[in-house]
Amino acid sequence: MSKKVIVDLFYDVISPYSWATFEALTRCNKKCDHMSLRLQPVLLGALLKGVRSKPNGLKAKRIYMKTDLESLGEYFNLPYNMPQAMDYVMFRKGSLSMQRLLIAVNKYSPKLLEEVSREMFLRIWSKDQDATSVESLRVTLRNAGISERKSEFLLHATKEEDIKRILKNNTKLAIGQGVFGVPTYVAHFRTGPELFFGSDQLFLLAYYLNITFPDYFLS
Amino acid sequence: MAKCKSVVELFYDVVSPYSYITFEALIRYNKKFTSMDLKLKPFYLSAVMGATNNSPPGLVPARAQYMGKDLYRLSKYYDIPFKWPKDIGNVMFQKGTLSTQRLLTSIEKHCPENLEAVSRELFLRVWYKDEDVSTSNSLKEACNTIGISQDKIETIVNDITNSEIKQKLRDTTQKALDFGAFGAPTYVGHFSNDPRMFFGSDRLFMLAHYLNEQYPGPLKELKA
Repeated sequence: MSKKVIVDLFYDVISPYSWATFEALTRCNKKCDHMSLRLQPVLLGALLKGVRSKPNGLKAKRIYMKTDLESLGEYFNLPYNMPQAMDYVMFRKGSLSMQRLLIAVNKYSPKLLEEVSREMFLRIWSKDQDATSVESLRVTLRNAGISERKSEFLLHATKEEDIKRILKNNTKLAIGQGVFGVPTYVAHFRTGPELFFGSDQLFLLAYYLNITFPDYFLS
Repeated sequence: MAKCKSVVELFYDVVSPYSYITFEALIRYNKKFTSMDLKLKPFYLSAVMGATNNSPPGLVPARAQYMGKDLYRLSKYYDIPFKWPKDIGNVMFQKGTLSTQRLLTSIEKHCPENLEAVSRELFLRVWYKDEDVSTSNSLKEACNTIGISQDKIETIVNDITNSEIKQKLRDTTQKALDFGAFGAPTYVGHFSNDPRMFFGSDRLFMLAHYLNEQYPGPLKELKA
């Protein structure tokens, strides 16, 4: 009996392309019996600094991104709805509180990480709502079906030194594996790890996993 | 009922390795999809980068490392001959591809039926054989390899410095910029509604979707 291929998905909810990849891979994980998905929240800002890269600031690229994400949404059946202040959300607002919460969820309630991540992605990339303030995070947790008591516990946990350390560490580890942006998914084969960058390399991952594209990634 | 044909314009520069992959892939798609009508549009990437204030992705070391592996991986997936040249910096930043792209523009004018073959030969020179594509001797050699007659080669290569050819290349490049291009490869699908621009070798599945075609995979059996 062959072992499952572990696929690490490095993501930050501030990245719109991370959403499409997150959904595609969580769907694939349910359909593919020889794959095992591990969600790895990282801090994109710190990641980019660490690899001496800059976020996608080009005007022409930003214009392209809007229609590109529209197409992606149509293809993967995701209700993308660009935030009004897209540049602010993507490049200036930051994602520290959100990613720290995801780390806290991963530490104390790992089974809920997928649902909480999904709720965050939806808030930002579909509902154009804030997801960074404590109140927004509270609502996010409740929307993910978490009890009031557990929500308060998790919100409190985001302030732990351990949580800050884990997020920093995970981001560093990602860089160590060659990650330079999000979304990045690293598939650990017997022959070695294969790193895929961007929502559009799913066809290549499918080839490596020996599954058909795009059906495994569609709802 | 016959499928509606959509024109797909591929804007490419031989200096771009991902353009090479996309060029070969789209030619295969064009053979397979009756819904597609591929038009090859050689343009000048350096001017596009300049106009949009863009810079090559390989300048971030971790990204360059990734690209190195990614291109070998894609070349295996598509079964396209590929090998990194010894001194890519020299090819891209010192020699450049202005005369190369002008040659392709000249081919477009004099013998458009040879545009695919000459483009392929130039791509192979850079991305497999590590041979020059900037001097007129190299360009003559490339035309000769694909079987264009000697006197035709003279005409084609001499025309490179002609203002008409220079302007044509500028016009094609501007056309790409007008579609929103900021890099290569850029391909524009003229579907029933507005034209749709795609950037990068990895959006081919999206193009297939807009052509109302199933994702076809690498189509190795349609390799040139």
